Amino acid sequence: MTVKRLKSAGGFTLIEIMATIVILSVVVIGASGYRYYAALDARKASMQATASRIGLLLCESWRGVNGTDTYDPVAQFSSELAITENLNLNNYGYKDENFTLLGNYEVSINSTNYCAILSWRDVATGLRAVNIVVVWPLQDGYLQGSPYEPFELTTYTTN
Amino acid sequence: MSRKKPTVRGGFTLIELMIGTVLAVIVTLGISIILADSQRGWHTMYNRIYSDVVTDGYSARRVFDNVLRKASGEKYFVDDAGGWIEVYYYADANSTFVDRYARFFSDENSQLNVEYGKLNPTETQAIQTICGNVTGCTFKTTGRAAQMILTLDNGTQSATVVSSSFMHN
Repeated sequence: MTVKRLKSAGGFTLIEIMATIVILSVVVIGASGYRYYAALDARKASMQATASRIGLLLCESWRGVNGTDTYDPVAQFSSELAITENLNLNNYGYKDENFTLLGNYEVSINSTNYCAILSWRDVATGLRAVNIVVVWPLQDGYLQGSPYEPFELTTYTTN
Repeated sequence: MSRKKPTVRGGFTLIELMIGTVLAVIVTLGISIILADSQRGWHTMYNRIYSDVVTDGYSARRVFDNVLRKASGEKYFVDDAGGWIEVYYYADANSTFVDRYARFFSDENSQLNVEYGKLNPTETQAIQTICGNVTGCTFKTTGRAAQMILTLDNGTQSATVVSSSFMHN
């Protein structure tokens, strides 16, 4: 008596399918990771660009009034920007001791709070240095306790 | 009489199929969520950098800065309502007096324009459109610095550009 053994039908085994899924998952998750970090870096770059623009905006405006120590960015920009003076913010170690503090200001743009530290110093008769440091958190949310980045700008004006 | 005994046939059992299906569904769902989030983030960032509102704002700021930073702080005119600003500058390094003007204004077509011209006698040389999608444009000055507050909107995205430039000459 001969017993014919049936050949297994063509197809994939469970192991083969699972291995394929794992390989596909690795590839797709890898590609997604690349795009995620690209988007994250773009956001960081956007925040840095915004901080530099805030610094430049305040610097050019303050310079326009010869760096006077009565300059008030809140009065000037409160109708265009969400800007407030915040005495509770510290200087994050970015104000030079030789400079006199004009004020700490909080600017909120796209759900990110930027802290602008304005200070000045008379370096010679009739020549004033104005310094602006903009500090912002690397993560969304409030500045306090978060990792942060600084952007610093110093310029000179006659007064 | 010989009787053929059925042998084990190749294929999946019901249990294997169910496990495979559940696994495939879980993996597919996970990948779909990751892909959707990734795509949304990518799209958001792309719009934040390359949308016409953003590039319009960038163009406006660049032109405003370039013109204002070479302008004279001694003389300028601003509309009482802030609708336009006119500044004066030297044509080149050999000019001995201020001989050019530039006038920024927005029009009814939601465009920001700049008009360049000569002085003495006054003659318009060119009118350039800087950007579109302008829904609000205000100019003001603080000492020798001028500010442009530009509101841009293309129907799906809006942005406010606040720029300040110091008039150096």
